[in-house]
Amino acid sequence: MTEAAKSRRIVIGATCYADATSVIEIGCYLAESTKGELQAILIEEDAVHNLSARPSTRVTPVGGLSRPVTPEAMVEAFKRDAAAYEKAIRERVAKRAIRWSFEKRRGEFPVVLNHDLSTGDLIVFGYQVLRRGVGELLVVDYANDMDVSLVELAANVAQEMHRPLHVVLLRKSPEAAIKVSEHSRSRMERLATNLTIMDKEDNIETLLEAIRRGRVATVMISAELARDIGVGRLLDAARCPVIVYTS
Amino acid sequence: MSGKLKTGVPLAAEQLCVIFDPKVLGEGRSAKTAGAEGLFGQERAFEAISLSAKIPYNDFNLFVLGRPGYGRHTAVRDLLAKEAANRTVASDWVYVNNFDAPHKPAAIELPAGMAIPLRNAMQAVVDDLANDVPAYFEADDYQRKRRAIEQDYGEKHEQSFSDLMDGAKEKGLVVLRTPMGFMVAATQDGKPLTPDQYEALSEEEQKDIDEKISVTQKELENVLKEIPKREKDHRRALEELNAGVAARAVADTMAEMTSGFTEIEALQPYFEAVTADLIENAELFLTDGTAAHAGAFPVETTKYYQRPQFQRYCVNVMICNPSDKDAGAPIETEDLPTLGNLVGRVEHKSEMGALVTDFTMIKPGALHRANGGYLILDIRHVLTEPFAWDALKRCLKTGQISITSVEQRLSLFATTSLEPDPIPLNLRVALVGERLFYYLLMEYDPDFTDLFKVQADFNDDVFIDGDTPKQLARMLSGITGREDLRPLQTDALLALLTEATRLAEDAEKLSLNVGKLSDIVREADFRAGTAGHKEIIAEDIGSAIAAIEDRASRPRELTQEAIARNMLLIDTDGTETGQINALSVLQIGDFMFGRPSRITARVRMGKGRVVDIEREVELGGPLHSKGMLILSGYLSAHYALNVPMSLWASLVFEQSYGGVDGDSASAAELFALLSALSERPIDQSFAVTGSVNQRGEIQPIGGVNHKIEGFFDVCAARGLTGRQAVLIPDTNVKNLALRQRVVQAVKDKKFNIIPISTIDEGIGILTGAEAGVRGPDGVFPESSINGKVEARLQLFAKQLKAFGSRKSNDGNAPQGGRKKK
Repeated sequence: MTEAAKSRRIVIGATCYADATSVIEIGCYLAESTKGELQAILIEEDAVHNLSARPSTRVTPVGGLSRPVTPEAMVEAFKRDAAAYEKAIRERVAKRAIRWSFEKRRGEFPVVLNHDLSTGDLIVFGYQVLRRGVGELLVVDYANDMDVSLVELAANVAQEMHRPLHVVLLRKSPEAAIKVSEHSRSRMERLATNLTIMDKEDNIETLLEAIRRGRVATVMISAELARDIGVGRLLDAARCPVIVYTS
Repeated sequence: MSGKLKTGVPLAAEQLCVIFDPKVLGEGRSAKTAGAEGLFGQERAFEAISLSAKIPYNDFNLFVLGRPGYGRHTAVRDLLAKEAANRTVASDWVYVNNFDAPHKPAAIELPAGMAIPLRNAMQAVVDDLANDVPAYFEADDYQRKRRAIEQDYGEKHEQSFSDLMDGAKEKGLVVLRTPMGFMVAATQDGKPLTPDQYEALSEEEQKDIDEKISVTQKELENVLKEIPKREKDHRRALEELNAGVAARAVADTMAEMTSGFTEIEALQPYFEAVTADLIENAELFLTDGTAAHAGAFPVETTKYYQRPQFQRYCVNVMICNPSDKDAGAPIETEDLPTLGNLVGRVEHKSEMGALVTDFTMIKPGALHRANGGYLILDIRHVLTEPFAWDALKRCLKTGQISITSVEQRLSLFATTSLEPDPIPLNLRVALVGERLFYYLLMEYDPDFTDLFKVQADFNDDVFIDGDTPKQLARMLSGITGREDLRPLQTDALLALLTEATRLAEDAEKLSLNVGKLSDIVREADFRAGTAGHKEIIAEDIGSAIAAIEDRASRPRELTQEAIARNMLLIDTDGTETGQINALSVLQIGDFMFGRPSRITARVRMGKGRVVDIEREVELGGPLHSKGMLILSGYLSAHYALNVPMSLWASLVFEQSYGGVDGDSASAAELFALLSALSERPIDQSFAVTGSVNQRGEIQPIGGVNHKIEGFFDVCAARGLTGRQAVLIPDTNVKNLALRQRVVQAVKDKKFNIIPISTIDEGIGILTGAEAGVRGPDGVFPESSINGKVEARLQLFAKQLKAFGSRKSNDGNAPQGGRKKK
């Protein structure tokens, strides 16, 4: 057993229960399959509390019926969502050998999830997908010395989610060479439905645009690339759960 | 036993018991006759049964009345079975799910023999669909269409939301996701504005931001408003797709199944309902997780129809008759006609502490089984089961079988229950019971006469004439043939015929008690086997009869023992005045035996009253009291007509503690009284039975054989003297069917049976003196019994008159004296 495997954490975070539901099942699966510890977090964003304090602020739920909001109501709503989130986790892990914990944190999503992470940890950012039933699991990474085990893990997740797996490799810079061994390439081709190595002129913006326009159900990304893109931007573009793999 | 009977003299031995000539048996009696064929003498009852079986009109149900053991059940079953065989086979009935109202299961009538094939076909449908439906839904074609729908709706969602987000971003806004919904906020450097940052803006900038937020908020509302509607459309589209696929799968399977039932119109609406429900609930076949639990057997062989979710498609076979057209109508009996066993029942099972049921738990009753044919019930059983009679009448009245339970009738508990469709009822009910039930129901149940219009009254016996002995012999031989018993020798048959007269208590009749006669034959067969006889001989019959009597005779023995030990005082020799042996019969269960009882009479002057001590202490029944009053009437009208009746007499059954009824001892009581009045002793070697009328004629009584044998046994125990005799009414001679021991004693002149027709005849025999008749002067001879009785009564009258005069001369002193007190 490696050190990473021993201490691996699967952190699943969301700003509301609706978003959390999109990642509870994935989180449980990852924790079970990697024998990691599931750490569920509900993030109370400062911005949301600040906005709730403004009299002109309104919230619009699905259905489109806007209504005013008060800070107290928002606090209560967070409490309710936290309870539902914790209950859902407890029910999911009830018959599985998973160590788990739940907590509420205040801060800025997604930054608050990046604390205290170690090598091998997985962070799953919740985002409720409005699209239903379509989309693929997209793995994105730099095309140099990439960790094929990320693709292997992604392949398992894709199978669990009944999704096709698409691997996209991006050069770090137009000049950077592609460093993927033949062995790794052939393994990736075997595991993934599609393997795309982006052109020299393609950059992060191209990638984000492709993600925005594509049919993506979940994004799995290396921590390095996620840091370069910015998880917030990635979430804005993908509008689906994002799994960040620290290596 | 032909010719005029001479009274007052002992009967000859051959007059005491019928001895049949072997010629009466004729030939060919060993046929293996069975059922009604083996019975005879019941033509009237058989005709009634046949009428009820054949007549097509309602309510001509049958009541078979008669005593047990006379072949009522056998005859009814046999005759109805014959008629049933000629009738068309009855329909099948099934209960199926009512998809519109599951608590009201639907009943469907099917041609005979189709219920089970239908049930099997529906089971096959479920099994086939459990395998086929998942395959249809896993097919590429379905998956492609489903993806297309989801993609289409997903893209519509995505596009509008994406446009909104992009638009917001262009305006420097961001859409935040919160537990309460979406919020729109202004941003600075890609992050929402903090309150300080907002406050730091100019009023114009704030206004501009607020306006942008307001517009975007509106747009957000419009986008989010569309989501539920799109979701609904999406769901509908998927449902349509699923229904289409399911319809294809279901249509193929149902078409294959229904092809075998196209000619049954009643099934078509059910098939349509099943098809619609299968399509609507096709997901049942997708979500049962069958493969994971298939166990050692391949999934294809799994019996899916047994699973709870598929019960709704089951067929509950209530009745499935043979498909053979010549099978005839059903004929059923129900030995335990409880409400449930009669009209059917809805069973329940416990689930999570609650009692639940469904249409598959409806169980048929006897009425369902017999529908279209005949149902035979024992009325005693029906009447003793709570609500059974009421339910039977209700079903016959309404012409349909409605299932109700005792719990429902009594409102004992409320639980999930069903209201199954009533099933039309078309059957003939035959109730079998004793006459008492028939007449009680006639009297007290107004519905009875309407519903049971035909009575089949079984005769108890037949006259010995023509072929009747031969027919009885044939019937008894039939029993041996049918039950593989040893054949009956001619002598054995003749002994059985004699026993039949004994059972009939009439020398001119044969009892039709098939049950008792059959039992004798069976026991005789056993005894013949034990004795190593190849045939049943007369001795076997005799020993069987004796053994049957012996087994039941403990009470008789106790009585005989009490007499033998002088615990019960009975004289069988010598003479006594005012004392006589009367005869009575005791019945315990079905065993009867006779015993003598001492009657004593005491007389004195009085006011014309005969005191019946039994009545005074309320041990005498009304018939006994009537006999006593008739006796008084005889005395008043026969003796001392010119003076007031000045007799006080008391009569008592000595050592009788259990009550007396009937008038068969009234002649004996009169003899005792005449003896007491005439002061002429009665010979105690005699016993007397018979009732008397006011003219002094002896009238017939019942149980004459048992009474004679009861006195004979007492005498035999003490030693027969040849003088001992029983005086019986001459009209009872034709009832004589005495046991051989009595007949033999009479033959040996050790015992006598003397018929008498009048009191005068009897008193003459008992006292050995002439009774006496009035002469031309209207006076009885002085030395005759009647003369002495009359003289005594006139003496009493004289004494009474003298006593009255003395009282009058005393000036009522005693009364005055009492007054003084």
